Amino acid sequence: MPYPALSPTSRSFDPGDWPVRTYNAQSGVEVRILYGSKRYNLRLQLTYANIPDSSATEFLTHFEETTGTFSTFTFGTSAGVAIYDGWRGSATVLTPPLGVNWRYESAPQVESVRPGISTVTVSLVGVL
Amino acid sequence: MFYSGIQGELYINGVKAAKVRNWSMSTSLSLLDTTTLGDTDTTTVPGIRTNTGSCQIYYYAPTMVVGENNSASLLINKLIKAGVDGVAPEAEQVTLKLSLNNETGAQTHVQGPVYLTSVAMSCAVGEVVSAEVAFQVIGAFTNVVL
Repeated sequence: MPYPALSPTSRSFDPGDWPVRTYNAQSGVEVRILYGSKRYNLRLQLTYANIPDSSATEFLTHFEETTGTFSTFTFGTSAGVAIYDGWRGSATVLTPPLGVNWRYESAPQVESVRPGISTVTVSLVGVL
Repeated sequence: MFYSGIQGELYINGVKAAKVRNWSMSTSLSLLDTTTLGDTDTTTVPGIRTNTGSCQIYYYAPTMVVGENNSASLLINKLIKAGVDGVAPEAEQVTLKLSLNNETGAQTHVQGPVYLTSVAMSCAVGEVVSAEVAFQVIGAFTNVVL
């Protein structure tokens, strides 16, 4: 099943960085070597507060189907729209570069709030 | 018909309380926020409902008339307990029924098991001693006719 197409109640985005190694000489000179052409290690933390348990189940099912933190995935069209809901800036700055896909950084955290209602927190990392 | 204090009654574990000055009840519902990014207005789903209430009963020394009782004493003893070696028994659960009688004799009421959450008594010159009791219903009301 695709990633659930739900609008999060909060979103935290870290754009990651290019693969750069920095070396410092004894003289104090800094040398930086760029090892790649693409940004990686993007992070996306999404919270879905007070959603029905049936929706929370979708996250756990998706986690299961992507073999947990092993496999990468892309958002479907509708999920891609929902995840960035409310963002009024350029959509491209939140979208991972070509070739970068998401995977779970850790298992979705499901907190039961009351009967039938849960809060789910998802942590994703963008990898090449 | 309108109701007034004349029609009001309070039952403690099924027994009508004597010398009740007033009772009140309140039900509140906490709402869980479901507002998502992109929404312009708050959306919610129902959360937990809480039923609370209070009553004031005169602390009344009964005579030997059958059926009279010191309802204030009966109620406050559910919460106030003497301890032995610093250890007092747990507060007791009590069933309260707050009712209004109408002309036909039918009762409008709410009833449920409660724990007393506070008891206040004071004695002052020129005032009749009474006990103010606050309570919280355990779970939902068991009977509601409103």
